[in-house]
Amino acid sequence: MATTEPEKEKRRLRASQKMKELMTLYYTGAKMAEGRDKKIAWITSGGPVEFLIAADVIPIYPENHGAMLGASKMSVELCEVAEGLGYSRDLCSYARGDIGSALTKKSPIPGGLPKPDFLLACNNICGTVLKWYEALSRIFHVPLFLLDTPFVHHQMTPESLAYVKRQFEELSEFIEGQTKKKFDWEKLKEVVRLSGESAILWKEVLDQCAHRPSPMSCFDAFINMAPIVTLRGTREVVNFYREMKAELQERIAQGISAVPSEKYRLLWDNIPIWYKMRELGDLLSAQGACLVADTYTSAWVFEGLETPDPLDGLAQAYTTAYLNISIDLMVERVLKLIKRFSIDGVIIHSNRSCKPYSLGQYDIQRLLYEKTGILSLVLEADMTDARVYSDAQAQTRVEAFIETLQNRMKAA
Amino acid sequence: MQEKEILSEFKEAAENSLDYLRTWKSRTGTKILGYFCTNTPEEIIHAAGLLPVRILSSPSAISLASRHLQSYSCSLVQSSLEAALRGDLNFLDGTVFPHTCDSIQRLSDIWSENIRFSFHWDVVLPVKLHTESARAYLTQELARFRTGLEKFVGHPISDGELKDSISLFNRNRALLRELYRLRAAEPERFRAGEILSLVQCATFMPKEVFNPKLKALLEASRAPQRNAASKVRLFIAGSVCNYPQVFDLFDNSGAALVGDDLCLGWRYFSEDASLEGNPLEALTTRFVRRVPCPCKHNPELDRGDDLLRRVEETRAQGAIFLLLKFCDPHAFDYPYLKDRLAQKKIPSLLLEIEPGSMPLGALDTRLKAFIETLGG
Repeated sequence: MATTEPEKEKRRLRASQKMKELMTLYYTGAKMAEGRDKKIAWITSGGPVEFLIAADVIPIYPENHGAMLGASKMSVELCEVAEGLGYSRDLCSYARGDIGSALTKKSPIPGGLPKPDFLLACNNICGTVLKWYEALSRIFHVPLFLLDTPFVHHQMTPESLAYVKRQFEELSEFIEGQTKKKFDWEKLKEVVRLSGESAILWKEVLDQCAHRPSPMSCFDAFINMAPIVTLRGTREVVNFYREMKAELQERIAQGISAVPSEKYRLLWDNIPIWYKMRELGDLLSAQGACLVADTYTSAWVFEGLETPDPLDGLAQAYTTAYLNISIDLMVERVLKLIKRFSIDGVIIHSNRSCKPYSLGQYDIQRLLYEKTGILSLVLEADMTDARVYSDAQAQTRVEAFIETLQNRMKAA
Repeated sequence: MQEKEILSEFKEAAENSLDYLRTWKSRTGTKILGYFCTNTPEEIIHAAGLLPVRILSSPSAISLASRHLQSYSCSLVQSSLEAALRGDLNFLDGTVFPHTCDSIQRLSDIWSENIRFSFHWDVVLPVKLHTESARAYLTQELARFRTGLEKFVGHPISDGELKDSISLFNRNRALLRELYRLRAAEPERFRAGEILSLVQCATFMPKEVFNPKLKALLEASRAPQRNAASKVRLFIAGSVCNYPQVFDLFDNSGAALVGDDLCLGWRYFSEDASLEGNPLEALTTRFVRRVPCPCKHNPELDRGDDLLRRVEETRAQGAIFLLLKFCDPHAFDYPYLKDRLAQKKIPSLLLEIEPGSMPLGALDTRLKAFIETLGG
């Protein structure tokens, strides 16, 4: 069932256009700042960007760039550049693509990402970012600060919390050394407040999908997550998500749904397959299936960020990030999503590039089934390296999965 | 005992390590903890009256583990889970997972869901090693581990007991370093596979048994060497490879191994712990002073500098990178380390190890071609 163009137009979010403008402005501004007074820092997606914003440093996210390379289908070419230097094809494709881009300056952004003055890696998403940023540190000859967030097996220890808090102080001293300016703790409080506010708004945006039918799908969320990842802690992001939330509420009032006739409400696990967003979206939509929740975009819903001592909330939030907790805790979070979003089935992207996200998924799948009887499908793929993806196989598997869900619902 | 006899005793034990441990347990009643990776503070386990035993890859086919792990996880992770699920490790009383790489971290989760030993512990080591706060956190984490072990065994671990264990492990490390010095001086004395099985034994035999055996070997090795023909001197760097067939390739290639930077090698015993002061502080210092493995971050100790220094010290003519397929941390460091060697005109060769489908013939051809270019 093909959707007609005006139909599609009606379902297009105004926010997506606004987001493009916001991100263009951000990247243009960052490019303009290259080589001038303002410092530029490259930071991991789970890093405490609040410190950079408070110090008036421009944050740049190679992972967001990695996703852009994937979506613009430039990844494979740039991964091959890194592979030519000896980086194994089995390594994270964001890292390979980004290293390839750093060396060749090829990118959807003319001239590539603006050069960093320093690097900030937080290992709450993986150990890979450490190795990736060590490589960047050698390529650009700039210093690297590692924020080390001890992995949470079952529960966080007070010792690890104290260690992370202490590192925030060290980070502020490191930033002072880079900017030659005194770190402004009052400004940090304000930035954390805005960051907390935008995280709550982001949660409320995602929560609109609890409505049946859902006013947007995860594909919209994947696209519109860029500001919460890259610019949280700024006023613009608060405004952006406030508008987006209003737009979604308006759609609910008007009865506009993301998928023409929503029959199946699905949850997505792992990073999107950036180069197949449109195809997967159309495939699911044609089956009346809508991705209404995912474990990826909800990772930026930092709760309890604002505490009397802002370092407490920050340490807690950054250490308990979704990829920094053991699978029993991940299952708890997924179960909450299943309940809140009335999920009928789960699509699990087993992502060759991301071991901390993917290893353990088979057990998560089993545990979810044992606890709720929910069915899931595992798609073997990669977030940006299209060489390991098969269209035909994905289509057959998704269709078969939807059929199974359909039979199950009929039987019920 | 003669050199040859001792070596074959080690080889025999390494080939049948699980039987060795089962027998040891039934004979002595000692509880055994399995652990992953050289970052584990074995001394604390030993001081608790337990035998620490490193879990290594086993060569069997993967079937049970494929229901829990994707094919893109490394063979160490896959085959150790397979062994545990199959019941091969049932003699263990528990498992210890130190924080190393993403895969081991998730293996711990999967293990705790599926393998029911009475003890399961994650030593959540810091990743950075060069700051005071990391150091303080590490000491606290070691103390937490000590307390966990005390609860498990039901009695306290005194500082005196810890120091005795440190002393025993230091002795073990000193002997192994002595062996490596001997190998660098007379590389033709040992076959590559002999050194592998010896180091492997060091990771599971009680040190009380292992140390006198190694000492006897070193004493027996004072006699003139059996074969003094000069061979091409090679250095191996990489992660963990306990497949004897791979080491046999070196022996058959006309080259001699003069040193290594491997998890199952030099990194296991390069650094001692002090017997002065607080023993947990001493273990912390040992840990932060070690040249880091690629899972750890220490901008003050560069792995490239260390590799060059050791390659030069051992007068190696070339280096082999022996990397496990899907081992991300090592794969990330490879281009840098390779370039550092190339800048000093030291040729290197990458051999990727994938036990399930190991093309031994192709590895052999590549190795021989490489050695030929070095004049062997």
